[in-house]
Amino acid sequence: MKSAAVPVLSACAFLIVSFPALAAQGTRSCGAGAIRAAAAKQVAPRLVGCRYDDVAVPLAQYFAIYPSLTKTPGDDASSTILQQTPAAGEPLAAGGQLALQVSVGPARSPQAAETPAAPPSTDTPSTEAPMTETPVIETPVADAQADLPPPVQKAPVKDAAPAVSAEAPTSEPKAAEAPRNTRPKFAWPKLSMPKLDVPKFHLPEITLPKLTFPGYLLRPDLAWAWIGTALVGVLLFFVWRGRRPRSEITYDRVPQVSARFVFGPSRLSASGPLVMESGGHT
Amino acid sequence: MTLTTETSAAGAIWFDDLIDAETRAEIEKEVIEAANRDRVLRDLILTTPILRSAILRAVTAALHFDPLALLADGWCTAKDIRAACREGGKTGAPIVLKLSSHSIERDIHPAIKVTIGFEKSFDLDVGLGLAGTFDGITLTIRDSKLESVGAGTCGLALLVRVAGRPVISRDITTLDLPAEYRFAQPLALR
Repeated sequence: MKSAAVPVLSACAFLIVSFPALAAQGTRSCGAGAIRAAAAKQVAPRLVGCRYDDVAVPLAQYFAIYPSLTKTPGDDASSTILQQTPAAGEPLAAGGQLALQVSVGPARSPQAAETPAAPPSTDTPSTEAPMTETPVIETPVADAQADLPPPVQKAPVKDAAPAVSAEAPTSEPKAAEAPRNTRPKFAWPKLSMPKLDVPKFHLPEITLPKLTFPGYLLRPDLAWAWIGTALVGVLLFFVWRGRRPRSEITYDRVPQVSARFVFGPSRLSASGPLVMESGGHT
Repeated sequence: MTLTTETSAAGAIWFDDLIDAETRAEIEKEVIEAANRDRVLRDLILTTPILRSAILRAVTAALHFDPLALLADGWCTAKDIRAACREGGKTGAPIVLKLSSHSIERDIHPAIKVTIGFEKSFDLDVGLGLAGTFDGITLTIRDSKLESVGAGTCGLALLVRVAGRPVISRDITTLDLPAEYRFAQPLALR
């Protein structure tokens, strides 16, 4: 009894704990259900406060759009949508334009505030609108890359080239005076395309059994061919038999025929007395 | 059509020599039709076509008979002739009887016996009637046996019957009988 009660109780506890989350998944504004409902009404869903990673796929699925991103540092967690255009509830048709301002997280280095912001570089994950990126100064490169949202791709920027490349020669005296190891680096967030739920079509695999030579001839689809061949053979046989010379047919069975006449009674009729004269031989 | 045929004393008279090709073809036609009316014989002919010509050859061979000997059965069974023989006859002495004009008719039914692995006889449903009209003939009888017929004329006619109905009636010939036409063997009076 104890061993049976443990899994039952565990299942009940799991359901109690996970039910509110499961129930809220379909109704919260960041979920796919809300985006689908908004797509049905052709209005923009409420995305502010949602993580871009959570809404990217439903947006592409139900609205068939890639939103144009504007990434800015902020106090919110990384990849949090700060602002959206059009606003929630405004008309947004499938394939329309949706601009999102996404947070890349708080600026961790105080030097980043002193460093003038480089002009935003453009990267075009979508043909509809260019994405404007805000450079972020990072001190530990690994941490900054870990906080960045995944759909960011590193790209060279002309204006920020002196600050990006530590090895590149520079003509400015400030940059030359700064030690190379402490020179801030710009790490551009990597862009990655949101994953789409593309339905996969599974074609049935046709596996033909390996048949040997006699087995190949005994395939069911060749049954009619065999029947037709047999009929043609029978037909040719009878044609051959019919064209044989008749004498050849009866050559081995020559009949013997004899005819005989069965004579009936004779009928003699005379108009008068039959014997006219009787006498001896002369 | 009446043909007149001279017969010698030594020469024999055969029926197949007396009939012409047209009469022979009609006889063969009636025989084959009678054979086809027999279901078993018809199937045999269909499966063995050579049987047809074999039947015709057999019938033609069977037509080789003496018509006078065939018709003499009418004299042998006539009461008048038998009575005349009893009246004036010594034993061993020939008796000559002069007969008035009369006619004798006799039916012939052909039968076919076929042997193809087995033997089976078929009575064809056709009748040949041979009729002879005699005028001025004399009969020679010895010991109650008819030995010869002489002088006079004999008109022969052929009558073909199918199912009892005559379908062909043809005069074959008229024979001028010799003074003495001896039969191959004496015919006993009955």
